[in-house]
Amino acid sequence: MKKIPLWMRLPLMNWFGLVAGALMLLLPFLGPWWSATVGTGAMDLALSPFDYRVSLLEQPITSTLIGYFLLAAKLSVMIGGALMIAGSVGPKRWWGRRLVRFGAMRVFWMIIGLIALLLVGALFLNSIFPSLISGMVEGGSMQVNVPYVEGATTSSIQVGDAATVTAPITASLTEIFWVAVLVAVLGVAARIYHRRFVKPVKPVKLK
Amino acid sequence: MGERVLGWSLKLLGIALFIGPFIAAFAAHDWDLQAAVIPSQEEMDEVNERLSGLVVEEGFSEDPFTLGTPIFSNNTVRVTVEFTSPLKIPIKITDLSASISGQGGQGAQVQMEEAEVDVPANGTANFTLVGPYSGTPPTNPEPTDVNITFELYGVTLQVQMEVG
Repeated sequence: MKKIPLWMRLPLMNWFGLVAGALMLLLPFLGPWWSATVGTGAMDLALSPFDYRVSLLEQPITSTLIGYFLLAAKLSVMIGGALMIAGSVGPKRWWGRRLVRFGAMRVFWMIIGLIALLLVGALFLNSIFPSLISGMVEGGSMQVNVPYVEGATTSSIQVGDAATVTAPITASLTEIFWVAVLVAVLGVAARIYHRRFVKPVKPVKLK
Repeated sequence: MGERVLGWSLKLLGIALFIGPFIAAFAAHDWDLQAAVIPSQEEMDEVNERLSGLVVEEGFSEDPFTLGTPIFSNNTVRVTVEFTSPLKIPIKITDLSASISGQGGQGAQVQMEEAEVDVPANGTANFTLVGPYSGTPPTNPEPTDVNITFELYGVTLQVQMEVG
């Protein structure tokens, strides 16, 4: 009797989509993707597309609009994950492709969005912000050096000849960011892999 | 037909998840745009309260420092310092250096003997300035050109003061 390989005995599913979908259900609850600190408690930032923590002098600061946006992002990824699991379980069903496509690229675009936000934010703080602020302090100058995504830098404000304020700034991507990258890769793989379940439509010859 | 309905439903879901937060946030604040976007008044008051703890209304002068009489012995000059913090938050003095000069004799440079000194909020801390000295001590010696480095919330503040 011919032995059938294990992979052929597995049920017909989009396995990438199944794993990515399950991780998408967990991802919003794992924590921040990026964090930054100014000094020790002067300012703390922790960001992810699902959550944010901003504190100034150890006092948390919140915004209702941002809070609701992040809640929507959380729901969006969780719904996307659930639909991706459903689409991956029934890959040959007519709804399989649509459901997988709905969730597959969500985390990928969130990663791109977060990195773009961090780059634009750092560019603004390093290049535009000092010239806006320097004029407000008489005889003062400001040198802001914020790390682009990751790193440790020092920024300083010179107030006349008498005083200098120096603040160390550290920023880093957390382990959760790399989990998100894994989820994004699995999502993209699921979308590509799903093509094998979709029968190519034969062109109809018109007489 | 079913695929079309599903496609539109998913599109509408995506749009609802984008527009929904705007509506929910503005509705929660009686359609007040400003209140929905910026932090609440209580949070801003708390931040202002903490920031006010960093500000000394009369400016940061030499008044918080009470410097003892410099003692010259064994080629060393020592000055005891009492610092009364005008700030409402705890700070750390990480460096203090000064010049000592008076009538006759040579001037001397002194530095903080301790590596760092913790000062509680509106509290007092004592430390010593030491430096090498050779020759005849000056009469009525007084510190001049004081450089002090504080650390608060991990941020370093370096202040240069001209005393006397």
